[in-house]
Amino acid sequence: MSEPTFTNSFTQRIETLNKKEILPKYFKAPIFGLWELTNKCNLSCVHCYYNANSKPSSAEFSTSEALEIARQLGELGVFEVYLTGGEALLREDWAKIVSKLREYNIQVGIITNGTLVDEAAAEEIARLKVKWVQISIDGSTAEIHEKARGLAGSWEKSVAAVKLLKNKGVRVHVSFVPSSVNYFDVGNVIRLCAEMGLEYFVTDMLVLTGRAALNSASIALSDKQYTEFFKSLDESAKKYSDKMRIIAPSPEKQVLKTYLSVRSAAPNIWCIITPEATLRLDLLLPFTYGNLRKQPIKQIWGEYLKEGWRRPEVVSFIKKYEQLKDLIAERTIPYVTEDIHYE
Amino acid sequence: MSRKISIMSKPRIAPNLRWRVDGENDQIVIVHKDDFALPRILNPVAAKIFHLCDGNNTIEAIAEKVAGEFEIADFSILLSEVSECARLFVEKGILEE
Repeated sequence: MSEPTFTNSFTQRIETLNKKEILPKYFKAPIFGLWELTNKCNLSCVHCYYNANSKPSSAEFSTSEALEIARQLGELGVFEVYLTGGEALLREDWAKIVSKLREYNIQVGIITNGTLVDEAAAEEIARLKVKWVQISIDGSTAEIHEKARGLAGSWEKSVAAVKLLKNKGVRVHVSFVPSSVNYFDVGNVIRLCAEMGLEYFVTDMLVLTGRAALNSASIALSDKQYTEFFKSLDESAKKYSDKMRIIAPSPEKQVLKTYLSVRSAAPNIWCIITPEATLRLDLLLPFTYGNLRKQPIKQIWGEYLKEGWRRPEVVSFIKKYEQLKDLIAERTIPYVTEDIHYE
Repeated sequence: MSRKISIMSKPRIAPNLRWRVDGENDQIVIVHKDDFALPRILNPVAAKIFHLCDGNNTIEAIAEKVAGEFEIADFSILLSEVSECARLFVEKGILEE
C-alpha cells in the first residue's frame, strides 16, 4: 500500500470529522484571527509575502479603532489571535491591543522579526501572558540572515530576542522562510534552535505573493533546491526529534491547487484582518472583503467569509491556477497589486 | 487514566474554560483553555452532555435526559458512556467535579 499523501490524509481526517458530525456547515464566527497590525516594517526581506514598507499606509487603524476591533473579536468569542505586520511591534500601541484581547481571554500569538524586543518589551509580553512569540530567523549566521532580511545587525537582535523572551518564561519558536538565499542553511538554523532550547521550529513554503512575487526570479527555489531543503529537514527531524518539534509543510503545498483544495475542504475557521480595515479569507487569494470602519466583523464574516471557500470568485480562482508560481503570471498578485474588493 | 466518575456526581463547567455554542443549528460547542494547544470541538452528543453538566444534574440524570432525546436501546450502556465522557472532560479540564 502506498504511503498516504498529505492531501489524502487531510481529506480522510475531514471525512472522519464529518462522519462524527463534528464539523458544522459553517462557524458563526472565526475561531482564529490573523491580524496584520501594520504594513510598516523596519526590515526589507527579499521573501516578504506582504511587501511591507518603511511607511505605514494612511488607512491604518487608529488606537481607538484597533481597540474596538479587539473588543469585537472578544465579543464574538474568537479563541486565538495572531498579531503580525509588517512588523507588529512597530505599532506603539501593540501592548494596549494585546491587553484588550487578553481582557477577553483571547490567546495571543505575536509574529515578529524580534529586532524591537528589548528587556521592557519582553517583560510586557510575559506580563500579558502572550501564548507564544514567533521570531523569524532565516540563517544560522548574520551574513545569511541579513542577506534575506536586508538589515545589518538584525540577526544578532533576533537571536537576542529569542533568549530574552525565553528567560522571561515566554514560549518562543523560530520560523524560517526558505528561498534561494538560505534554503541550504535550514539544518544549521534548526541546530541553533536546539542549542537555544526551543520547543519547536516552524518553516513553510516560500509564498510567492507580495515582495516575494516581485523578487521571484532571483529567490524562488528550483525543484532540485526544494528537494535538498526537504532532505535537510528530514535529517534534522531525525537528529533532534528528542529535543524539539519541527513543523514543516508537505512538499505538496507547492501545488497551489492542492493547498487551496485542502484549505477549502473544511468550513472556514479564520479571517485575516488587514491594516486597511478589510478582511481576507486567505493570504494566497487576492480578495478582500468589507470595511471594518463601516461594518462590524460579525457582518463581514456572515456575508462573505463564513462560507468563503464556496464563493464564486474563490472557486473560480482555485480552478484557474495549478502552482504557486502561477500566481506570478496573474495580474492581481496578493499584496502587490490592488486587491479585488467586495463590499 | 483518571478514576471513574460516580453516577451521583454533579460535574460543572470549569471556571477558567472559554467556550461558545456554534454551528448552523447551535449543535456543537467549541472549548478552549490556556493549556490547550488548540480549541477543541464537541460533537452534538458531547455538546448536549456538556450543557447538562451545570452542577445540578447527576451523571444519572444527564444520561436520562440524553436518553429522552435520542433512541437508546440500552440505558446501562448509555449511562456508562455518559460517565466516561464526563470523566474525559474532567481529565481535560473542561469540567470539574
